[in-house]
Amino acid sequence: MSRPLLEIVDLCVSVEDKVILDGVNLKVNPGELHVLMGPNGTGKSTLVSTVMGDPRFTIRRGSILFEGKDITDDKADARARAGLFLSFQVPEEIPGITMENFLRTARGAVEGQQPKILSFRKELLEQMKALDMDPSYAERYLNVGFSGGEKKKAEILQMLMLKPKLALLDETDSGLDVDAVRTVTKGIRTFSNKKNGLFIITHNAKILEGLDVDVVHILEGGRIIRTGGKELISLITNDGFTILDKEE
Amino acid sequence: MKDFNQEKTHISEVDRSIYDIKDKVDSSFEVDSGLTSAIVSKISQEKNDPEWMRIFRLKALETYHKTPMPGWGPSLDGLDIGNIVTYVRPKTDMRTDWSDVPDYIKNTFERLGIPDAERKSLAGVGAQYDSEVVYHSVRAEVAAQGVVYTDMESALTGPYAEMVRKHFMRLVPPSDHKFAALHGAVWSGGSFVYVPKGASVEIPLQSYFRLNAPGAGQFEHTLIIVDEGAYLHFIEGCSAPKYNVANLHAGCVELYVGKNARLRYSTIENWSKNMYNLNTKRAVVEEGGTIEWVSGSFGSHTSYLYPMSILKGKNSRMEFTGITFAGEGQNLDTGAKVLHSAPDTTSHITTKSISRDGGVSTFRSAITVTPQATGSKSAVSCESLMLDSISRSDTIPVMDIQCDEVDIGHEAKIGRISESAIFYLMSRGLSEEDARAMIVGGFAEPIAKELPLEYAVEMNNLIHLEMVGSIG
Amino acid sequence: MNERINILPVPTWNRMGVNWAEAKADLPKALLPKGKKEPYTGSVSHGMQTLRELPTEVAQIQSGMGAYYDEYIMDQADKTCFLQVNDDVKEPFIITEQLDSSNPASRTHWGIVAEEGSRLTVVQISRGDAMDGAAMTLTQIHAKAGSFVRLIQLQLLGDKSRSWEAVGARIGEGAKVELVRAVLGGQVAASGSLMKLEGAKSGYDLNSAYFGHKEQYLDFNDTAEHMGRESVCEMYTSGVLADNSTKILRGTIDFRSGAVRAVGHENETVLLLSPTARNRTTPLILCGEEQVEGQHAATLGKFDEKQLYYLCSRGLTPTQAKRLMVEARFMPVLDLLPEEDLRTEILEGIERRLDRHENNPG
Repeated sequence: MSRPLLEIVDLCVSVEDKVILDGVNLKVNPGELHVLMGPNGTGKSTLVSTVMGDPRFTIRRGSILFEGKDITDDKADARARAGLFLSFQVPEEIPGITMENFLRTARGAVEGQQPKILSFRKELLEQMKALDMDPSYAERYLNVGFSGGEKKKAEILQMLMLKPKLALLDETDSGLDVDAVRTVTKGIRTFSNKKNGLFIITHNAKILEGLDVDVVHILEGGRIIRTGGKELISLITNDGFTILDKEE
Repeated sequence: MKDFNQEKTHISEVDRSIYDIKDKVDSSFEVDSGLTSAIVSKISQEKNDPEWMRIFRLKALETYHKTPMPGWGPSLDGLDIGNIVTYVRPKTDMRTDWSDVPDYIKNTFERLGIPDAERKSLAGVGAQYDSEVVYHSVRAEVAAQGVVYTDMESALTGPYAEMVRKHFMRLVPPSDHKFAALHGAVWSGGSFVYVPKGASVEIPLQSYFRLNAPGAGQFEHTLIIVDEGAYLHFIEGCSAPKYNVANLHAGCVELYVGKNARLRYSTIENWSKNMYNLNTKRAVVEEGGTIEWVSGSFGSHTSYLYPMSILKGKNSRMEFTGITFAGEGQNLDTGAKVLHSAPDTTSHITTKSISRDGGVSTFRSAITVTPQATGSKSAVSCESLMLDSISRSDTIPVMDIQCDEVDIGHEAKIGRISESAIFYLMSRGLSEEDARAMIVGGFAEPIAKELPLEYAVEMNNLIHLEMVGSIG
Repeated sequence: MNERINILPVPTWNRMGVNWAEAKADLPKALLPKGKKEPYTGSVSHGMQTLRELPTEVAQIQSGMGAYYDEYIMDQADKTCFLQVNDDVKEPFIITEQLDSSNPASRTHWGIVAEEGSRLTVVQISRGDAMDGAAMTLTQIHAKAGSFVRLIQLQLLGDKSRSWEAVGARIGEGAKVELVRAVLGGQVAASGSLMKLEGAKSGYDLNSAYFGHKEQYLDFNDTAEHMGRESVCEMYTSGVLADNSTKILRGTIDFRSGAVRAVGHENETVLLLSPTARNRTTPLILCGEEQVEGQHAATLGKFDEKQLYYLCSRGLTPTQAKRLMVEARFMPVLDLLPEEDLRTEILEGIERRLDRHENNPG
């Protein structure tokens, strides 16, 4: 078997002296689609943000390996260049920088050379069309004044343009209407292949329709309390997380 | 928790090498330093002033001696007017062909890209070196529209002499403040522009001011009259090499915008960091006319710069868009003044300022709405960005509203680069320095896009250089 | 010595006339003999006590009116009222100053020492009127760690009197001071506050409302100085100017180096009801610290026509709608008053002014 894309070993994370994650272990192999579920406030966002290198979180113990290499102390840009991507739950608004200019700069940074302006633009517009985004968004300032749904589509667009090896999606479906969820799922399907990994945080089974879920983790109280197959999803969407407590 | 303060990158001085090349001082005439009626008379004589101008200068000098230094604003302690050489004549007469300009002066302007820009994107160019204009030229098709673009000295005695006399220092009288009086006494050089009724100059005119002599002052006078229904875009650029002694710039700009006329006045100020830039700019706008100011302040040791707009005619408008970037050793006090003195007048002021490396930037403004200016509107928005904790950024606006039929809004914001925005950009692969530079560039973008293209590019490079610099 | 009051923290163009208060607000020194500094002898609630002397470090607290005024009151006051708060005092401490021909002037030196964790509301009311009447206060507040002090100043004087209200505070770690101010009366009304947010997470709220009419001159100088980490200030001023009234507001947020992650907001709205009223506003933000967030916003003008239309579409007459909108400006202040009677009194004062305005518009 090939080596895992992501391996998290005994990860313990705190913010302002408050422990949020307390010994998380998991592995994502190439081509796998993982889903992370759990009640609100259990540290799901903390987990993916820490994997991406968010400086707000302090790693107290444990390590994060990407393709076998220890990235625990790497900064976010090094992780992005290694092939990690995070779709933010609340994407930042940054005035004065157009989406196109930003994405071209970012693509240059992750690939190590500046893409050609015209072919990049063509590719960008094609991907935007596939995501049902108005081409004018390429010229708009990064996320500034975008609606919730537009911001989430813009995150998926960035994923498709930056071509990471592993994409972490933090509630990319929250606050979206049915059509937008469908568009986002289509984007995820485009990205998904035998080599790429996906790690999706969601409360909603809708986004997973038509996707092949391999592994489901349940995070509660800062630990993974259960790992299983996709049958866990229907169990939880029907009966809630308390069903797990009853089983124990 | 990670502390961003600890990993702040070192930001180095911007590369000013293009501006810093000094020419050997080779003047044909200069007055002694200091300020006496003998020196002023001597300047007047050297310049072959008409008699009224000689008297004007001497009266302005009296006013200068009577007027106190400003009791507000950045310190002027480092400026000793007794040590400033007020008049330095370069060794050449004014030319209309670059090939006639002496090589060492021509090369300076070549390095600054002026002849090149003239060929590509300008309708006319004036170039001043120390106290005198060394080059002036305007495209034939623009001249054919009746547009006059010449140096002030020629204008004083030429066919427009009466017009000049009627407007010279009427908008900014020497009594306005100490440095206006100084200007009235020792002014030299600058440009005169007249755009006749209905004429529209589609490509800009540009004057470039270069101060080469150490310890000297530059006191150019710019007088622009845009007649009824006409349009002009005028660009002013300034630079100087750095010396260890204080240099002084006390220019004066007077703009007359006629009925339904429009004037756009862009300034890119990149004086060296030993310069005291105490410039006075003022526009009066008649009915339905528009004045647009675009101002980029990057250089100087100390600046006092607040272009004023007098909205004299009904429905007249002003727009001011400015950016100030204060670095090490700089104290840049900039802003705008507006006097709404007719009904239904409008003013819009948008400014951004960036302070870093111990630099001080101050936004200062004054909006006055007189009792007769009913139906007037004014909106001010100023945003400041602090890049470290050894710098300063102050906002000092005043509004004086003397009638009730008005709509006045003012917004000021001060802040820093948000850590979460940096993380967001870094998560897409950008290094921390690039992320910071990109955010600062984005902050400046709404102003940069108003600048003439080549300056916008220069400003972006400047910000990138200042932000990323050479590390270590 | 500089005899000016309400000096702008950083000067600007003199010809704008905002660098200090106009001569109308000069102190009436010649008119008044030196006061006797009679201490407050009334009762106080459980959990607080009166002090004979103010501790030196409290007496040194500067107000927003300036050193000249502070020294004058400390030297010449007629009365003093020094309070020490040790506990959570529920009952507001209310003192009323009534001016009349037998008592045309009063100068009071207040001191409030709020010990750690204590809470108190103080209400200072001035009423009445007299020829050349003068109501003057200086209030020095030391809010120690975790304490809370709310100071409510209600100035309801008649047209012949003048008033000066100076406040200075040092605010300790986690402590909070609220200044609530309503200015309705007086031919001249000057108020100056200087609040130093010294402690980490210290807080300061200003709610100031005024209604100027006739020939009234109102002059405000309110400064919040952030020194402590994560200190927060919210400054709101809202007012109405009618007839030939004039107002100057200097509102300053000053972020000192070290005020890491401090946040300061300042907001002003002015409703202009007369073409001969004059409003001057100088909102300063001074900043010597990188990691702060500061914001100022001001809106000045007549009634918002869209809002009026909205209210009228619900059945209100234009007059009713305008009254509602004027009263709305006082609501943030009225909501914080501890007694219904005071609220009613201020609302009636506003009503009288509006009646007068509607009978002589412009």
